[in-house]
Amino acid sequence: MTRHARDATGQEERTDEDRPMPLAHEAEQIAHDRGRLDDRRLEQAQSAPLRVAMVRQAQHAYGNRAVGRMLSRVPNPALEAKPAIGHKTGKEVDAYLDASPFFKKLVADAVKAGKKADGHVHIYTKADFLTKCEAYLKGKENPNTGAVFTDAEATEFAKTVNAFQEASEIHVNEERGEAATTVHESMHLFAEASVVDKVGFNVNEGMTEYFTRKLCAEQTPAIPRSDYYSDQHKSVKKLVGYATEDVVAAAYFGGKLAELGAAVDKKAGASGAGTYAKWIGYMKLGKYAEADALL
Amino acid sequence: MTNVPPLPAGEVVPSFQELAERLASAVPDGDRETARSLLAERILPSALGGLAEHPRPRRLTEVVYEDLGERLAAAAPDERLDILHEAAEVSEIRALAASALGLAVARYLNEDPNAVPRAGVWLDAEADRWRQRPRDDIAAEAERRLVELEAWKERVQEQRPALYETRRMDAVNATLALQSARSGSFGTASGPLLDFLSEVGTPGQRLDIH
Repeated sequence: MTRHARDATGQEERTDEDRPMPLAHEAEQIAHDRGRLDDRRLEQAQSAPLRVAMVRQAQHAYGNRAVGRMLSRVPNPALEAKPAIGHKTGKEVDAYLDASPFFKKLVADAVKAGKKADGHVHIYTKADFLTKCEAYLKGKENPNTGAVFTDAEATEFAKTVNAFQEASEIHVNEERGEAATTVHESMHLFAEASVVDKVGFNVNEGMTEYFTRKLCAEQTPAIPRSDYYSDQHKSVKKLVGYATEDVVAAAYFGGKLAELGAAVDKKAGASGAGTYAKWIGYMKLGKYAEADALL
Repeated sequence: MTNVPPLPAGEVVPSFQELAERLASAVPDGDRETARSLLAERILPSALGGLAEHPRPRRLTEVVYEDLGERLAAAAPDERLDILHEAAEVSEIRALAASALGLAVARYLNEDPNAVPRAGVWLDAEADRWRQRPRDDIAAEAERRLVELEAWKERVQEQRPALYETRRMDAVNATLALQSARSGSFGTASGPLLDFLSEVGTPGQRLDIH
């Protein structure tokens, strides 16, 4: 929770304590705001009120310490450069799964068969990621035009992407997303192969996010995870409450979707036949509240 | 300051106005009129748009009401109006995503009516209505929604960057689906539209982007 303090003029401002780590785009804004405060035109006398207002706005947004650094012009590479996201590597995710009493047994067969995240999670510089993403789009049809992506279209589209998966290879822009992005993407690798086709995109993402958050929370210290796939996650969390975590985990990691469906329909009672199918139907259409209301 | 009052017992489904009134009672007096208007005009119509077709309308109302109530109760009173402003932005992207998918499904089935028997849950009332309209009407509606979506992206990216980042993929998938609905091109798809194409037997190339 953000705490507040008052400056000498009684203006409420945010303190640096408890401030969440800035996302990449917030850091860009901070750097931009520092540039604005550094503008030499603000040193002119008639610009004083504007400068005061901008300082207060920045104090409120970023806290005293950060603004102090901006004003003193002490070089601060963290504000000038893109922050390192510190994406978790595939090797780290493998280690988290192996160390977890909950996950270890769920991925045991897959690991025995040679499945692992190590070597399959590729973290690139921004420039290299864009090149890789452009290559991924090459030859694919652009829904906007009906023709294959041109180089220029692929370049523009690649800028909107944080990561992409091609077969069993995960490609991530080191400047986008957050540390747990690669935990989520790696979790996809351990899902039973037929799950996504049977449950659809939204349930698959919800289950992946559910287990991502669980694995992140198990670490010491916990790996922070923002509210990605929040609707899908919330509905799957409700499903877990209804059908039990073990049954949902067996469906996701072991492909036991028929058992999940049977558990849901049984819990729904005498007139509950077909509840799971209806739930899947609503989830496919992104009607999350409608799906939740069935359980 | 009160928290959100529970819904009256029974199976009656309260009106949007009544729900808005109850939820807005958790917001400080000075913000209450704005809260009521956000709830009645932007949040509830979108969240409860499927009420008429749902097998458990009262339960659906409770789910939406309890979710909003919990979010309001978890916030400090002076932050509750902002919670509703954010909920309105979330409602809008959900509605745009649903509309994008429906229009893309409608465009596909308009061009390939033989696929209708295989469309299953994808052919909901909205998609069915658009499917029967001329192709140019579907494209024009997709264009109109793309403009709305671009406005949403620009506004939320600037005003609520953290929300934008976590909802970015909803916007990307909706953009691609609307582009397909406008162009009639389904050779490449992402997200739920790819599920639909797979189920009707013409899976496009997967854009597995995050």
